[in-house]
Amino acid sequence: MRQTTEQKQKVIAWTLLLLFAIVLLSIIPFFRFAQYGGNPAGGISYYHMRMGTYVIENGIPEFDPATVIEQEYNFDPFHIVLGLMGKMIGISTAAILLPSLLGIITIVCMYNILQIQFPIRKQRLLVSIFILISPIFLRVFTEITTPAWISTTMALGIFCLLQKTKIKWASIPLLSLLLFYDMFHSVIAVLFIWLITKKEKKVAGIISCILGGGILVKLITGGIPRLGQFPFLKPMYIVQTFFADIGATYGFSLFAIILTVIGIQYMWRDHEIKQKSIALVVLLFALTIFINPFYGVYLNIFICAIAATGFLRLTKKEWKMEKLRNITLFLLILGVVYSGTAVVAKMTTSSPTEEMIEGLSWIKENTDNDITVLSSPSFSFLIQEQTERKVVINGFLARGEEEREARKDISDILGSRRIDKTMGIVDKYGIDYIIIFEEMKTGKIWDTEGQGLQFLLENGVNFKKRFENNKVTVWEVVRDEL
Amino acid sequence: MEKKQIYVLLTCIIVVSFALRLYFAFSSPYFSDDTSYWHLRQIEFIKDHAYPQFNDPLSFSGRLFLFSPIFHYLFAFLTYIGSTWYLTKVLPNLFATALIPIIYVLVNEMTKSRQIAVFTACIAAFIPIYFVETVNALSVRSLSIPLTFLFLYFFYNIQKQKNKTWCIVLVCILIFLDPASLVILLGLVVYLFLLKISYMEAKKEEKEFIFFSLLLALWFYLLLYKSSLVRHGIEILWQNIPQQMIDKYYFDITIITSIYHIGIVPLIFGLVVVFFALFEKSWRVNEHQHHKEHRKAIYMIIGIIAVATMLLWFKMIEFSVGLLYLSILLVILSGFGYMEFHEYLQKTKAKRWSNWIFTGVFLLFIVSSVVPTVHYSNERIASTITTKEVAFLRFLPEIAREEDVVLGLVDDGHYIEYFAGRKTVADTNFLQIQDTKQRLEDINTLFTTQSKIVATRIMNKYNAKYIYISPTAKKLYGIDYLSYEDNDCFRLVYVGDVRLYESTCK
Repeated sequence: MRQTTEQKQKVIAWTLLLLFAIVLLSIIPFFRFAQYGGNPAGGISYYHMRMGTYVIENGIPEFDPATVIEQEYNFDPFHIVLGLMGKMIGISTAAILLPSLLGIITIVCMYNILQIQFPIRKQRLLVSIFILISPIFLRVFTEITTPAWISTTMALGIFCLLQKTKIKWASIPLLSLLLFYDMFHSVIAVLFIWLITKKEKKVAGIISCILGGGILVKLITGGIPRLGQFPFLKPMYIVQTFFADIGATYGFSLFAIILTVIGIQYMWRDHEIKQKSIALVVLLFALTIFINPFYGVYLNIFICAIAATGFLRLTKKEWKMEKLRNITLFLLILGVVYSGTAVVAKMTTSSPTEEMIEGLSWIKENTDNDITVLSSPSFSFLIQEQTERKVVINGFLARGEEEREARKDISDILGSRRIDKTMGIVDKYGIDYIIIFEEMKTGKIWDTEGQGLQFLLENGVNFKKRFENNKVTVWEVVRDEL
Repeated sequence: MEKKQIYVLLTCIIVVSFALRLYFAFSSPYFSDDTSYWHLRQIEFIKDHAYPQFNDPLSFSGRLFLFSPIFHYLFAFLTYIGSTWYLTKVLPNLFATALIPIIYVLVNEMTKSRQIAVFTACIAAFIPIYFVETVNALSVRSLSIPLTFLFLYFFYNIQKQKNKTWCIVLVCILIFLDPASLVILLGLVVYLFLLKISYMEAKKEEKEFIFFSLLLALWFYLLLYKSSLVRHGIEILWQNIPQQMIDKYYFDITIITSIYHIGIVPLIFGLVVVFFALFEKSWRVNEHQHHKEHRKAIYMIIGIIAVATMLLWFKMIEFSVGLLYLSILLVILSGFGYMEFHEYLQKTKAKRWSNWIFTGVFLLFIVSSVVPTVHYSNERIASTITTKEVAFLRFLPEIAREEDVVLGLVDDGHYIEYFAGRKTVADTNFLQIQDTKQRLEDINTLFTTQSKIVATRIMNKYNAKYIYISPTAKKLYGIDYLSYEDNDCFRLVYVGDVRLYESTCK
């Protein structure tokens, strides 16, 4: 009888978590299909879509096939997965559905992994829900980006490792995939394994050796990775990179952090904090601040776990003002949920809009295949994918001398009002069309109308307006007039 | 002094202060700052439409405002019963005067001495900065500051059931009314810290209430200012005020300015209490229950003073707002200061001179607080917009069409919007505006350039049709007319105390 109740509770917990995950992670795909013509959000999504299709159809290229400047292509196994799925259901649909699917897989794996630290089901379920509604989790799993794929690989790999059946061997290839990415993912994986494995020393040892070897090779061949920022010089930078509520892309909920502080206080008092965990949290914090805010996705697990613990303790604590306690707990829940919903709202309405796609489709349908298009590099991925035409340089950070020069030239041309200088750069890269997006006029490049290149486009004889709507203007370079 | 005498004295102080306030308020038919007219516009809009004007078509030629409209709703409701002009002059002064009895009850509760309480209330009636900032302005602070100290009164005895309810109600009103109330909440956190390091136990209700209030404030401000936070980041602390104007609102606090704005009596007595409470051993080791209660009350005030001072020091709060809090808090502490001073005197041979010493202190208070209060109030009234300016602005709709944009000084923005009902290029409400720095630079250039082409370009950039030169603009730029005026591109439309030009070239 007792076993039946236990089974029942287990099923209810699973159903609740799965349903909640499915509902939450389907909001954005549903909205994008309904309102944005099925176009995924975010510029980088379009890079992965294009490369996914390209890799499946043409094999692995050496350089980005759609840039004038030769930009090295770093192979990403994720492109094969996306490309294959795209072949089955269409690349746009795959790009919208895959992040949600990866999110569901990750949260299911997380729920199982958390069993080690949180054997009580209710507590584990609460931690999982905290993770699910955290801004960083929602951000990662609503856009088709590498972080979504890496997180899932890591979670799935560790989940397999903890199994008692032969599935545990699947963790070796899964976690080895991390070697394709930044070496810190491998470092974090090794540390996670070190933190959670108690019995399966053999498989854990093999994985650690593989990842350790990979890290060593990367260090020898690539050197020590460069630090991104020095936030201790700019304390405000930490605030802005850390809190999603004030605009951080991969940030945390302010209320979750408050609950974390409360949780730490209780856990410290009750001697529940392990030294190993402290070491890993410190490392993750340093990586998030110094290297890339994306590493916050790992730190998020700890933050959510401690925050949920803090919340549970608060609910059990006796207050002198009982009604105030209920309102306070309600405020905390509202705060945590609010940060997540803000991310969902932001992602559902983020560009590209249908009008932007309309402008790009015009180029695809009305121009030759071999033309070159110029715009702000931040729109390059979108232009490359939607127009199937070349751009001068893609949206990644410039690495070589040639790439840096091209970046500078684009910056010069967008800010220039001198026709000779502008046409010099236009000829240098063989630019045929220029696309001006509305966002470029409102802070991204210019503050107002008529600044920089806009002036030449409107007043010069070398450019002809070919297409215009609310969001996009397409100009053709008229070379005969020179 | 007897209870009755104390009440008579307190009533006299309230009546004198209120009468003096009304005298200054009605010595000009207009308010002394431009922001009052923004509030007035919101109040009138609520009266007409029952909802606030979040999307303002006039300010910055059309923009979104983010604010909590409680103050405006309250005034819209209150002004239903009579003339808006009359009531918006009287009610802020009535609210501001309410600080006097509030300080009396608060200090009386803390010190258990009516004499000290009435002495403190008397000082509170004539704090120069508080008087000047609230005398002829429609300002949220005339309501939020008295409510803040009423909240502190209830918070001091929060263990009483009735006080708990009042605390919750007041903190909700304060948070919804004025973001500056965060100073008090953060100050209470410092108070808990001070108690902790002094090995004193805070009441459980206090801790619970502070935690709740902070969460409520955080949640409400995140909700209200979310888009501004994302847009301006941490710059929101400076309200997105452009660098060129930041020194006007945020500047260094010095001893001299403190004496001018706070008064020497509260400043000296207040600071002495801070010093003794934090550093004097004899104060800290006195374990007598009565003394402990005093120390708790003092720590509560010191906690808020510490936050206000830090924010002022790092220029993270508007100078006038920070100083408003600081001045009243020091006034409360000065009550303790005078009490200690008086007790000390009783132990010395100067005991028989104590009445004369009190008279001396009182005279010093009149010289350093009452006189500057009257002087500053006169100065503030003198800087009020003139009748001629208002007459012209009221006439402006006859010249400019509804969709025309008028370019004027930033400080004249709200005047143009209220009196003329015309669109402006900029005013002093910068939150949510992307290109404030550029706009300010362009306005400066327009008033100082010699080039007609440059001026035309700026006018076209903002789609502006008229240039308004007020006496303030003339004084600021040292100009009487635009150097590039002609009948070609910049036609003089009106000349008098103010000038109006029409831009005709595209």
